[in-house]
This record gives sequence, C-alpha cells and structure tokens, in this order.
Amino acid sequence: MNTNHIRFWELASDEPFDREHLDTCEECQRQAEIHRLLGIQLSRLPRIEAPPFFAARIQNLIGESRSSLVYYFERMAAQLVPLLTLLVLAISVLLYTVNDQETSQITTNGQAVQVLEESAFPDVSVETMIVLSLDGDEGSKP
Amino acid sequence: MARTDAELVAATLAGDPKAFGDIVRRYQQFVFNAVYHYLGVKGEVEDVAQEVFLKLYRSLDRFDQGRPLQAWIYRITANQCLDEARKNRHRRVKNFSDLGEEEEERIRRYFDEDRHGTSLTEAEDNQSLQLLQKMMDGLPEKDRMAFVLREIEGLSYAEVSRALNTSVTAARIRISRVKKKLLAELDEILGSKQGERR
Repeated sequence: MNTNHIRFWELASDEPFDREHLDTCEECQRQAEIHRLLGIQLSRLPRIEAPPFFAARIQNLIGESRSSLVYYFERMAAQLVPLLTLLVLAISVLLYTVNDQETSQITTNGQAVQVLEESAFPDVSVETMIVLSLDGDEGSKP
Repeated sequence: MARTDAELVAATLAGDPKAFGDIVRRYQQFVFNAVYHYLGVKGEVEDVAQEVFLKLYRSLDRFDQGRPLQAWIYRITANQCLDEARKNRHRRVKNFSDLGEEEEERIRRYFDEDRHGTSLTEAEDNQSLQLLQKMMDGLPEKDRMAFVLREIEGLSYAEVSRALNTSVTAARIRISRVKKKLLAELDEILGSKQGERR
C-alpha cells in the first residue's frame, strides 16, 4: 500500500486519488474532510447579477465615444500611423543621402574629411585648416 | 437563432452597435462574478466590469477572429482585475489584515452548521466570501486570480493558463499554492476547535 499522504491541494475536483490509502490513514481522512468543506464553501459563495440595463449602458458609452471628435481623431491616427512612419523614414533617408553628397569629399590620401563652414570659424580659413592638419599629420610621424 | 461569437464580432467591426450589446449580455455574468469573487467588494464590480467591456470593444480590431472570443474576454477580465488590485493594494492591506479571533470563530460556526446540516442565512453565506478573501491574503495576486478562475468560476486549467498568459503547469502550481494555504488555514482553525472540545 502507498504510504504517502494524499496531496489534496494538487488534485483537480475530478482527479482520482488513492482511496485505499485514504481508508487506512487518519491524517488523510481529516484532510479529505477539510478539502470537502472548502469545496462546499466555494460552491456556496454568493453570486451577483449584472444590472438589467448594463449592456445598454455599454452600448451608449460606445455610441457616445464613436460620435465624438476624439474617437475620429484616434481612428484616423491609428490608420495613419504606418503611412506616417513610412513617410518619416523616406524623408530621413532622402535627407541623409543629400546631406552626405553635399558635405563629404575625398582627400588626396583617400581619407574622408568633413568640410567646415567658414562661418563657424571666422578667423581661420578652410585652406589654412587643411594645411595645418596635413602639417600636424606629418609632424606626428616618427 | 442566436448569432455566434464570430458573427457578433464581425458585425460589431462592421459598425452594428447592437451586436456588441449582445456580446456584453452573453458574457456579463462571467465578468461580474469573476471580478466580484476576485476583488471581494460588491461596490466596485460594476465599474471594473464596464472597463472590461470598453477595453474589449477597443481591442476588437486587434482580436484574432480565428480564436475563441471567450478566451480574449477571460484575459481582459484577469488583466483588469490585476490592475485594480495593484491600484487598491494599500486599501486591501487595510481591509484584509490577519484573521481576528472573532472571524476565526465565524469560520468555525460556518462549518459546524454545515456539518450538522443546518441551513445558513444569506448574510452568513455573504460573509463567507470576505472570510475567503482574508484567508487568501498575502498570496501573489496572480495566484489568487488563477484560483478564482478555476475553483470558483469553473474554467479549465487550459483556459486559466491562457487568461493569465502562462503555461498550464504554471497555472496548476499557482492554483495548488492557494489551495494549500486555504486548507492549512482551515485545518488550523477547525483543528484548534476540535482540540478545545477534547
């Protein structure tokens, strides 16, 4: 005979258990009684009814929200989101491409350098800066 | 002839306002009772149930019509209940503190009357929900939700697992954890009474 106690808390209501053990084990008989009482308590819990006009009220609330401007804007926004996302992506790619072409150039030694706007550095011309940077590169060589 | 859930959903999406009313009528009893048994407070049930159905309506266009509507409703109900519990956590701690001596006595009386076959009053049956809530206090909210859906509302383990977005095994573990605590509490309360009588 199985001497393990029955684990009532793991049993589903329709699940079989070791009845032979239950017949001979006082502890499991006590637990079975408590399990039975809990089942009765649960089956007798009070239940409530939805109010008679609950469904109609929900219908009205939905009707009101559907007719409001906010609802239309929400629906429109929901439908436009994918389109706007695509548009933003397309514009970003376009801007990046145009910007890349205008602001990048290849130097003679193959390095890409950023052309600086003269207005950002009014005291130093672009030509002077390039000369200085080339001098610096040569100076740093061993 | 009554329309199927799928037909009602399709009609609602096509703009038929009556169709959604029919969905509400079909599932309102489940929603009201699940919310009531989970929160344990009658006064809040209607507001929470209303929110469940409004969320259902707003989410219908995302609902996979190849799946059962009731599973979707179970999930929205469970999520809404868990949200409410999170919002009301402070109040719950105040309302559902440890069982007092008087409440333990009430539980003993409740089961004594049951054992001896005397009928309980409606008020006593109503108190039983509050006592049950107190006994479950301290357990994780999801465990309590799983227990309510399975043991009180009668959902299958598979339905509970889908409602809580978890595996069937995890749902079973949650439910058995609550049952274990309830059985231990009852054992202690009823056992101590038996000890006094000896």
